[in-house]
Amino acid sequence: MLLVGIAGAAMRTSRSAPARTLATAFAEFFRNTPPLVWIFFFYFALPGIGIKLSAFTAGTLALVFYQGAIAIEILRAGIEAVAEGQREAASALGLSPLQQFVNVVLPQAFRISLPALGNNLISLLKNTSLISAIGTIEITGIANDIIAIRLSSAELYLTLGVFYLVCVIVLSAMVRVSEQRLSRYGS
Amino acid sequence: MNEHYLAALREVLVQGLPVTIKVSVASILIAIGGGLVLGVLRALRNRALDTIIIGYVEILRGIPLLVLMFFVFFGLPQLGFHFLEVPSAIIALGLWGAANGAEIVRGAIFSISAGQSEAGTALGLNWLQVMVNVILPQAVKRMIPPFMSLFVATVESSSLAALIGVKDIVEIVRLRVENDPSLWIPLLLSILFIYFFINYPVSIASQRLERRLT
Repeated sequence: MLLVGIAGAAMRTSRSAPARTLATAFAEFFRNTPPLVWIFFFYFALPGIGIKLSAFTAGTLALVFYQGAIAIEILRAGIEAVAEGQREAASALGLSPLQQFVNVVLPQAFRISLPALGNNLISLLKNTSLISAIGTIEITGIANDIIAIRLSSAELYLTLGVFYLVCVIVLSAMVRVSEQRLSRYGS
Repeated sequence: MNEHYLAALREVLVQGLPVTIKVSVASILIAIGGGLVLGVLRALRNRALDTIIIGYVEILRGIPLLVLMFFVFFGLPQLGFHFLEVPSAIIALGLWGAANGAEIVRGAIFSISAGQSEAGTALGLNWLQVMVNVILPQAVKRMIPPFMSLFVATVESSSLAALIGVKDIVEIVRLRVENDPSLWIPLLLSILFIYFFINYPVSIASQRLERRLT
């Protein structure tokens, strides 16, 4: 997710127009469509053109693209917030455009984007629950499952909710700690 | 593009799309209403009330929406509350949206400078008058872009309703492909574009408005 975000954000802020258009189209399309439908697409539709993925791979890929698209926007905002002088100074020092991006702009953009990236990570964690939908539907339709689930219970979903909640609380605490650490290096 | 596809697409548009829109709009209305009430209550700075609202917001935002929806649809009947598929989906999406809405409203209210409410009080207005006549008119403008983003998220999340059997556009597709698996690709691509065409204008408008306000 982070790699998609970084690569996409680099393209979105690059000087090459085709790269910019491509990254923008990718980010806008994935951001504005439901991750559940993408999971279905990767798992149920791709075999139609000969690409067969396991439930795990299909689910992971769909979520990487969806959350990656959001990360692109977050990092783009971060990169645009880094003062132009930073890049100019780096270029004056004789760094190549790649070096400027990786060594000067990205670390600062990353720190600016960290709170939003943290939220994106938490949303990724919650969206992993969607992958279960593949398994649910595989067993010839939802109807059978509904009967099975009706026999199980409210406690089950409460427990599941608590489990996710604990994970989310731990994760947000970790994000907050890393924000504090990074903010020590001036801003 | 054969006639099977066209027949299925027609069903998606005629039967599924109104359901998707109905669920999304009903949920966002609950989210706006609930968010306004909870957000304004936060501005009272009452400690007990704050604790309850923070608890509600954090829990609802901390659990996956799918789990919440399953809880409403499969879990609540055990406790004696029975809801059909569509109301269950709207309740789950509405409760989840209200939690996000509360944060939006709270953020907007607290972003209005304290001088405004002080000036209102100095003019002899009471708390409610200050809130309704001074703070909210200014805060509403700042709530619009995030509520538009919440609408996009709500439309996307309405797809989860298919998993409890609501016949929205996703569920219609799933039912149609049972007879003809070759329809998966064209139908899924079609509904991806339907979602995109609903959401993209809203999300662009939200970004524009936000830029204009800052």
